Amino acid sequence: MIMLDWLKDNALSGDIVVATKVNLMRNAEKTPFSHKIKEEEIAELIKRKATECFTGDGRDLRYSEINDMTWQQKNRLVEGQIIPRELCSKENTALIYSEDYSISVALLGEDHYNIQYIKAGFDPEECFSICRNMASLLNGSVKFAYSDRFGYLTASPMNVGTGMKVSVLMHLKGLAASNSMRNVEVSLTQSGFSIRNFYSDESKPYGDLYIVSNTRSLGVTEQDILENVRGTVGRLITQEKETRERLYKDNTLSIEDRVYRAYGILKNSRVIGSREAIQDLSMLGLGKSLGIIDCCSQSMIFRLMISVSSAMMAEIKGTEIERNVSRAEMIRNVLK
Amino acid sequence: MLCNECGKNEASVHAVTIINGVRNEMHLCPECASKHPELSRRFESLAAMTSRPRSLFRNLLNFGFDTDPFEAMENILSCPTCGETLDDIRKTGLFGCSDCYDTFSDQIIPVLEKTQGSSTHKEGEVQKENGQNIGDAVKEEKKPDRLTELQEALKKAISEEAFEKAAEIRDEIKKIKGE
Ligand SMILES: [Zn+2]
Ligand SMILES: [Zn+2]
Repeated sequence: MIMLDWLKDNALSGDIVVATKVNLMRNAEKTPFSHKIKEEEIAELIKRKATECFTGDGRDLRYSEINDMTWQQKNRLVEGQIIPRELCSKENTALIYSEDYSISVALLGEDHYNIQYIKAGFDPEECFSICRNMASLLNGSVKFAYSDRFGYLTASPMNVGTGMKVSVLMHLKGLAASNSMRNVEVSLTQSGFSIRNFYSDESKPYGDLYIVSNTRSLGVTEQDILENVRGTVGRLITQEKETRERLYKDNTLSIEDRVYRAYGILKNSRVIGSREAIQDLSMLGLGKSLGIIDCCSQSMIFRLMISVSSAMMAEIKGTEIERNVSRAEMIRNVLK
Repeated sequence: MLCNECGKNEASVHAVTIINGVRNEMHLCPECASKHPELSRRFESLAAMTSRPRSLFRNLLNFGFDTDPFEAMENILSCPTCGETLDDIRKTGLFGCSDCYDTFSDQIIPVLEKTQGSSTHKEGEVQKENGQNIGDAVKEEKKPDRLTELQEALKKAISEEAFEKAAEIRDEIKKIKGE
């Protein structure tokens, strides 16, 4: 069974936040940004500096050129939130990563260095602290592009200043079911955050997973960003919890019915497509958090929701129907 | 190139205006350019933009074309370090190098004010480790190659009795070794 190793259970795993990730974007000073580098030597040196820093003796990080990967591997990294899609369409890009992919550094993407830490649960502070240490380590061998006026200089002015992005993957089943996502989006935008769907199919979203990220990177310190994230995501968690409880109180029978139907399908089907599985898992997650059903841990439901997508399962050999059979089997084996 | 208007200062603002289909190129010094209000950027309203940051940035830098076809203009100011023009940046949503922040500061500051609510960095975490400049590191690696090259050239210059040239080469070798 293919599982996302970075989604390991931890003390902070909850009912609503699936995972937290922090990115720090850095560029070598007085060097063109990635898309404007013409000399091969400069591109190679940018990569080699990071490789020497992070994959030297005693550090068990690995290095791979993106070009050497199969399209299935690339898709899996994109969907698993490890690399941005654009890293796949560019020449010369590479990735330094830990075995479980929790730590990674994308090389020569939009920025020369994109340092990332991702973990299950809600923990922006720890994610940031690891990224900061990685950046310091790298800064020991590469001078970063920095100005007093604009801070860390990034290829996109949308990341300039701290060069920091915090993203929180959330399961907002209650708010989505009560048609509140439009309001949520408006209020997040006002407080300097963006929200997008994790899964969508021909631009129609499904699965109720959302990624909330800060849009401000300039004029705020790293600590300001962490506090804003904690405040905003904290409020969203409370709002989601209250909505779930109210929904359950007002529609007890129909929610219980839908949770058990979802369970019935997941526990018994022999062939299941990714979209159907993800939607039923979302309903099961709601049921688990409301104490309606106890079929496995909440974090296992989240891991399944991400692991059973078509992109994640593309590496399994065979036809689509054969993969639908494996998917059904994988879920049946996990559910009690 | 000298400024078209005063003919004294170096022209650093290059603009093309298209008025009633007639193309007119202007090359002006900053001082003269400031006397042309039509050269200042016009921004679309925020409401008309999508919420995607990249295209938002692109849209914010997109001025003119649809609103007033008679005064449509295209700014061809380019970054002296990387050669990127405002037009290139509008297409990609990305700057070409860190110096672009200085080159296009007049254009970027209002955009940052709108999208980020600020255009000034607030210092928090600073990575103080003093790493190497990549350009210097590349030169460093090429140093042995360059030295052999110069030593060859020195031999050749001496054998040709081109002593003036030989002295120049010897100075350069000293400089590289001394670094
Ligand atoms: Zn002039
Ligand atoms: Zn530039």
